[in-house]
Amino acid sequence: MRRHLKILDFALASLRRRPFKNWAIVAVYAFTVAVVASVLFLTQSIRREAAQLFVGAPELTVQRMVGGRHVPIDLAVGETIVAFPSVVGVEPRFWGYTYDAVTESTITVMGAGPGMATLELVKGRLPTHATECAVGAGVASMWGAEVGGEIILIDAATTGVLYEVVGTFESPSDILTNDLVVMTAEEAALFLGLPEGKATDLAVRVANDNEIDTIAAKVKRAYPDSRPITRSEVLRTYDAVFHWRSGMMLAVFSGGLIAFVILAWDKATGLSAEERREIGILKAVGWDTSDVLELKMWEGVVISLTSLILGLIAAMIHVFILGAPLLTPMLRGWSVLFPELHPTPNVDPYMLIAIGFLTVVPYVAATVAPSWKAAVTDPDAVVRG
Amino acid sequence: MSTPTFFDPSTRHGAPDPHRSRARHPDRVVSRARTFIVFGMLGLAVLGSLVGWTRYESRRWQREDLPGLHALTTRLHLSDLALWTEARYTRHPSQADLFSAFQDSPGAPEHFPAGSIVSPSPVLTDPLSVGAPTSRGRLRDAGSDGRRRVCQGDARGAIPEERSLAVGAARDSSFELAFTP
Repeated sequence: MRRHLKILDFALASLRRRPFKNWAIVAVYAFTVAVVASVLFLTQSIRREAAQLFVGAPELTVQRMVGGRHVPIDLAVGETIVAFPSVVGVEPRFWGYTYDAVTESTITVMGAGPGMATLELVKGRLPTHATECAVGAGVASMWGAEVGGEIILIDAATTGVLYEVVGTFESPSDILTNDLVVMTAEEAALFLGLPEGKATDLAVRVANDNEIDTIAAKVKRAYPDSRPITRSEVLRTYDAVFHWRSGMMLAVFSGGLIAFVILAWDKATGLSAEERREIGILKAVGWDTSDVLELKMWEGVVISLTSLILGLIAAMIHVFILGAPLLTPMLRGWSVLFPELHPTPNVDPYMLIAIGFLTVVPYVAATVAPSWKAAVTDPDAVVRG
Repeated sequence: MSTPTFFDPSTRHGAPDPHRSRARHPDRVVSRARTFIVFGMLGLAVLGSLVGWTRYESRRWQREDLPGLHALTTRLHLSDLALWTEARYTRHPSQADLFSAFQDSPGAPEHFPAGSIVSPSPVLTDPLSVGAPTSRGRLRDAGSDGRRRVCQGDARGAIPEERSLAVGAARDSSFELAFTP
């Protein structure tokens, strides 16, 4: 044990002889780990959040398709579906979009059917009259509206309609409600210009989760132009959207990994003349090849563990405490009403181990491999170059 | 000959050499290693504390916020996250049309930044997704409109197995494959 400590001590002394170079490597290495870990933490957090949030989503959403497009569906379809065994209810959904030229933002308009007017995350209440609405935090801040205030929206007939804000959605629900304006179902249908007797789609409640696919098949059989979307498909959609292999997240992730590979490759492609001379002298004064390799291994371990720990701590602070400010602009795109991200802290120890394995092992290997070549060469030849 | 600059790792448990400087005393030799180990443990402790904090916060979110969010999704039948308001297929990825990514100009490259992040829903790419059961091996005779239908497509079109089945059945029964995926 003492022998290993001595070699570790010597490795630290050796690293201290080149402080600028080694601190630069630690900085780049830690930054790379922080970028990769930030992407993984953020995407995993949103994925888990979506998976838990949409447990309350409709078991089945039924749309009507015409020409490959989603079009309003007859309310009469719901009356047929509700008669299917295991279906406990069908509620039409009235939702759509409106562009607000004043704030240059696209707002999602949603109709709230009959039910509880007060909810835990609603400051105030949901609308109960045609002239009332509840708004998400993004809309409220864009309009400077609070409970008791008013907003004007342009309806399908391009008429400005004044609504009293009777409720605002509170911060924890931003990720679901940031751009929402909730009206009564009848008012939403009128506002969006939905034809009489039609809804945007139908939300179907199924008593037994095991029967959701069967109900979907029955709906499809009864209405071939319909498109049933199950809750599990909604969950899978978000799983795919925020999977680390998808889209820009992959670009950031792979960029970080490539930076790390370049760093490791630079180490692996050879030793500096000074390092070769050092190895030659160590061999000349009696060090075994195994001692030299252990020394180099400790150098790699010291640098990579330091970088790994610093990078992971930085990533956690960046994502969970600061709200991922460096990744948000990439996620945001052209969205005007993008919610403030407060990713629910959630770190899988398995992920930490995976990041550690993917970074420490290759780096240590890249440090030891070229040293082995120098260590097995005759010391005289190594020192003389 | 002067004392070598490098210490000899083979000197494992030897007695302290009185001629050596204070810095090279066996108890002092490993001081840097001990300092590193202490700082390493400290770093791991900070990391462990942060992981513990994330677990605590996650449980707190599930306990305090999640019931309210469930009530919201249930009451308003919400099916998507309000992240990207650029286009309807980014605002509601799970409810998007089948041609969602290029629906506004077929053949055009993706023009919304979020479209680069939102990969196609597995609903669109998985042949075993919803709607598939409805088209299993169903043969239809000529309808009243005179069109001869071999199989009924699912939400995205026909799945490959069904199409091959339908083609085989069409050959056997002299039906034409009237379905266009």
